[in-house]
Amino acid sequence: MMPSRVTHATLDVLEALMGPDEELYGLKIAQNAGRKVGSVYPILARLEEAGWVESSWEREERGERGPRRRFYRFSPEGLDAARTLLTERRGAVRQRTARGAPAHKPHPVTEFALFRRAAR
Amino acid sequence: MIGEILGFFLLAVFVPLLVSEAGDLAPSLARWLIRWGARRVGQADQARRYEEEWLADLERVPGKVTKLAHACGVLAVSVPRLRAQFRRSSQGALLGFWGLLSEAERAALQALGRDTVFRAGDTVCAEGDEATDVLVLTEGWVKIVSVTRKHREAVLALRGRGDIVGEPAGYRTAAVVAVSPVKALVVAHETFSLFLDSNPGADRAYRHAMTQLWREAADMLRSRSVNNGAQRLAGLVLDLAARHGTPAGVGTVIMIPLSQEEIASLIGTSRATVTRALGDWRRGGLIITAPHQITINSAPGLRSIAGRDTVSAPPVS
Repeated sequence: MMPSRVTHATLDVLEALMGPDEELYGLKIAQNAGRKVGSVYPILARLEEAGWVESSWEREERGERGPRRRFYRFSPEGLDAARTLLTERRGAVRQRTARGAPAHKPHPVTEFALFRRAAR
Repeated sequence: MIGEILGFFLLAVFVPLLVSEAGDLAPSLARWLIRWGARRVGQADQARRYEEEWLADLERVPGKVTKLAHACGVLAVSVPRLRAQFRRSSQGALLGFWGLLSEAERAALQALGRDTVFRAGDTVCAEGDEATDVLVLTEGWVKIVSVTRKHREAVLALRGRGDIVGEPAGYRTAAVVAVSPVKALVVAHETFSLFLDSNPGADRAYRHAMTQLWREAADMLRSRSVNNGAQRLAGLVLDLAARHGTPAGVGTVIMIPLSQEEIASLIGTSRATVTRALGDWRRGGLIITAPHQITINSAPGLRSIAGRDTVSAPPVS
């Protein structure tokens, strides 16, 4: 009954959270999962509500360095539950990490592609 | 000739100017969209959290126009979905008696009663008072308790959003105490009877809700003689999930705004049994616990503990 409600997008997000990276935030998780970031925030919110995932601010105070990122990681029970679920649904526990260019570098090709899509 | 010159200027000067202007404007427009969207997510604290989180992520999106596309994606997908999720888990979902009423019936009843707010710990009704009103809980939780002669409190039931509280007539046979901030629609008893008389749909809803509560009470009484504490606890968790659970994508989340002592009293067992059972289930991966909250990862597992795996349980949502 439970696993049927879990979508592929959710499983992708769980795999992205399995990664070794300590500082996973929404955008990074979306890139790792290969999903649109717009759909990833709601999935993270549901996982957090269910207690599978915990989140915390990048640092204590909101300083002059601008807005803080929100880091997500598995709770101990959530990690076990996610491993069980992924084994059940996908046969193995895989990690998803982004390939290619690092996120902070501007990427002209992406922008061009977006322009082209908008023009169409 | 003039046309050509004009055309040249248009192409060579205005278009690049326009594009660069748009490019410069895009990031601030993106930030504005994110702020506007975050404010629509839910409560003030949720809005603040998502505004900061999304702005921080936006800073890490490369490229000006990509930033704008990113913001549009968040606005078009995240905002409506989160809004629906938060509404469902905080106040939106219609449950219990209240949820069985039609929109018109809810409006009619609302007009007949008065909205009343209680703080956590407030006594909503005192034991022994004359029962003059009926309460429909529109938000929060109450416990129904009876104080024994030795000043020990026995928890008889837990009622939540959508449930109806209060005897049909006579005196309050137990006290009703708010265990969280509560909003309730208080309707005078006479008025409520007349409302049911003139609204057959509402009358059906009332009988249905009462039957469900009686059945739960009867199940609990029966299980006290045949089941152990852990089995009864599993039954309680499943009942609460059926009545008040919110699906969370990976399981069902339920609130239990009671201490373990009170849970033990409610199901007639010891506190140690409650602690032990919850610990066993947590280690076994059946549930995840947070303060006053349980996520059911495996409803079949709990059903088999409760001895209900042969009977099909009511749907959760």
